[in-house]
Amino acid sequence: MSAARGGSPRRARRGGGAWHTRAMKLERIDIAPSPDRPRWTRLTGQVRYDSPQDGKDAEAYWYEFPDEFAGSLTTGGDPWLACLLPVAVEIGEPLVLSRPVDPQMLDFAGDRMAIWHWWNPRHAPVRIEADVEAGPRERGTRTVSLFSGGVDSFYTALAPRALPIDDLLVIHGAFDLMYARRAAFERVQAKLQAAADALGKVLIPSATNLLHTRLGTTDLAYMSQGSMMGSVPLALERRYARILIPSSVDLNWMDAWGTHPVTDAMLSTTGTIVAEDGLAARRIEKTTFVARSDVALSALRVCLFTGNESNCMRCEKCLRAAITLETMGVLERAAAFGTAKLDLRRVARMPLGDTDARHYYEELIVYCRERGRDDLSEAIARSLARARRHDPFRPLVRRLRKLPVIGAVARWLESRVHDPGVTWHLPQ
Amino acid sequence: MRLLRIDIDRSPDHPTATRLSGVVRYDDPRGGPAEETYWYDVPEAFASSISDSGNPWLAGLLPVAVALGEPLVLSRPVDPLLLDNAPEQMRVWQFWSPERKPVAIEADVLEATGWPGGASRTASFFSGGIDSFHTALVPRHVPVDDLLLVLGTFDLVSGHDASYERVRAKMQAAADAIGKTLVPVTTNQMKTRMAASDPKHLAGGSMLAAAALALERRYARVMISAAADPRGFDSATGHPYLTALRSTRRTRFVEEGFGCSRVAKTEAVARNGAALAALRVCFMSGDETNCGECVKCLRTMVALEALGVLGDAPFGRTSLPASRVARVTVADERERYYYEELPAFCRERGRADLAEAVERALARSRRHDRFRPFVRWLRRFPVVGPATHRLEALVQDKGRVDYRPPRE
Repeated sequence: MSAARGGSPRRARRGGGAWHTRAMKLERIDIAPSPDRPRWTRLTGQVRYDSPQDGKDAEAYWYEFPDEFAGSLTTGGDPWLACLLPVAVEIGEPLVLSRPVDPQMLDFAGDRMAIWHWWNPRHAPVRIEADVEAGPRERGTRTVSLFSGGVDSFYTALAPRALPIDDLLVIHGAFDLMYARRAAFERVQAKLQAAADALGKVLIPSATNLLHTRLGTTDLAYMSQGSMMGSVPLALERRYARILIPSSVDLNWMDAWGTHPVTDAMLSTTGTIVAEDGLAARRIEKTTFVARSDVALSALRVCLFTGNESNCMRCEKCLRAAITLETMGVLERAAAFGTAKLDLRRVARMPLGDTDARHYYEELIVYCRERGRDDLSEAIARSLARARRHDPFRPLVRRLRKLPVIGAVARWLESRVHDPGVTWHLPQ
Repeated sequence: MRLLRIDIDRSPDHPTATRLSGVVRYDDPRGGPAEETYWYDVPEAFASSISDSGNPWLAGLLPVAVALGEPLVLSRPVDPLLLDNAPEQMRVWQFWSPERKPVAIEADVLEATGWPGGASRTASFFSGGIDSFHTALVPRHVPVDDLLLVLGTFDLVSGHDASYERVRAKMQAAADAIGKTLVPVTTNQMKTRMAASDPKHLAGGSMLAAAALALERRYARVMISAAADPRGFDSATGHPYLTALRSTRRTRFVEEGFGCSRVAKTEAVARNGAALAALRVCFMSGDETNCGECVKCLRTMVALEALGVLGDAPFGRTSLPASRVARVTVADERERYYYEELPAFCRERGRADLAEAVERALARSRRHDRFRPFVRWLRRFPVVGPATHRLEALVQDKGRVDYRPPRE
């Protein structure tokens, strides 16, 4: 393991009070060859909890990268502060880190917790105990953007820039690929490599088990998703002056969000800016911008649930993207959406139970109509209206679904009026 | 719209200051001057940190160009990160106001390899208000070194040299008491076309950023107290995302205090005697005082009264009766947002009387909303206009709503 850098660290504690012996602790880190992937290097953090879950009071969190990037792996505590803080908050244990952390990131950690607490009073701030790096740090110079091959990713990668993006980082183990088999990930990687080559960027493949640790049991949707995603490039912080996280919401978003522009930016250190990108563009604008690129169309993958390079064309995300591409007349050129045409009946039978996604469809109704696709516009409107009518009954239906016989009947009755959709990872 | 040239020279108005000035020409004067000079005066002690790059000019002039709809051409090279983020800044403005279309920017780019170091200090914008003091006082591992006092914008737009000097002296005393370096920057921004570029919803953050970037050689980080909190943001409060877009590779802009309510900030500031004694929250006075009559002063006074420290703060009162609070007019939506925090805050501190008074004031203000346009129309007429004022005075205090020239 390489030596810690910088001047002599100061011991710091955020939150006051006595030092804690009972706490969630990053006990040590290791950098070694990956046991699973030849010519890859693994950065591992051994974490111990004060309160076990499922009989486990300790587990390993890890990140892996090809050997050629291993020289940029950090031995500092920054990626660990990023990914472990939401776990500590979720389980209510003080966080003790055995590696020194960046002072600015430590300051921001308190701000992050304050915002999570604002969003959800159950997420009370916890004490953090860590050495603080006091000396000047080795500074990277490159810019990386997270890159799943989706609309947000491609929007960020394609936008003309005065300060270009150098690297595109794909994560085997992020939500869309958390159950992906190696072969499926390699197909995804190959497709994104072709796109990166065409765009003149370096593709950085990575892997992590974070979502299979206790981090995966935290409130990813409304607190911790950004912490997880941002921690992966922070493991390579010695390479990067700037980390871009393509924004999944726009400026109209006022609510809690797991990858929120304000909290994501608080992962920044004195050496590395972490920032969301594309917050000022609406989803339709991003999709139409991306769809003008043949490179993007050939690799576009929006689905969270296939775990591979394809799009299921059944889930809300796939259908939403397909509607926009169909309206633009380019759906057939989007290889990852398959050769099946967009079924109008399927559009009219979309479940749309997720209220967070409905504003996209309200925009699509207007967008489709303005482009002469009244058929799509009306189909979306029917789905939206039905979803709103069903809202008062959803809690009851969820309860009924858990019962034997009645649950099956409930699902059969639902299938009479709308498609079940896809809301979880498909079997691999 | 072009930045023709910049100059760095002794200030003609402030003998111990150095002036960074930029001459700007507009394609379409629109009845105003075809050319005007924007300037920033800083004390000589900080003159070596004055920037000769295009960064302060890109930051400050961009909203003017957008408001005018003119491409922006800069005669000085700019930082690639700032230039990279400029289109996104404009998209943010357009998102909030679709008529504000992005403009083309033409400028040379500063050397893009490497991320320049050299600057090491952290500054925080400092008006002496609650947000400012909170940002300055919060304990940090990367502490705030300098307090940037910008004279001539926003709360001091109606001021003059004598009032600026009194503000500076008061803030200097506060900075000394809390162990920070005060860096006053005087500017004529609000006497240029910037003033017509919607400072509230468009140019405000850019004006501050420009003042800070005028000293970019000194700062690795510049902190801005968040005007919004997680309940929401709009073009008036700004957004931390927009603030960060003004960063250069050397100087980062960050917002602070986003996760903290106004009343929580007030309570934190009130624990510091030096801060309390120097507190200036008023937008109307144009000088170092608080008028004690405007809706902003009154909301701060309510919180301080609930904390039992109003007499230690410079509002000219040792107590605030609930009956006075009940007569406050809270017509502005943003102000209501802050007033709505007060009832629970007051009750938690055993001041149910103040809580009820705030609730009465808010309820009455909401009831009157539908009549406001009509009453404003009536006020144009002789006899009827004054009568509306007298009638209003029977139920509520109008408060101070206009800038008046501060005392000499």
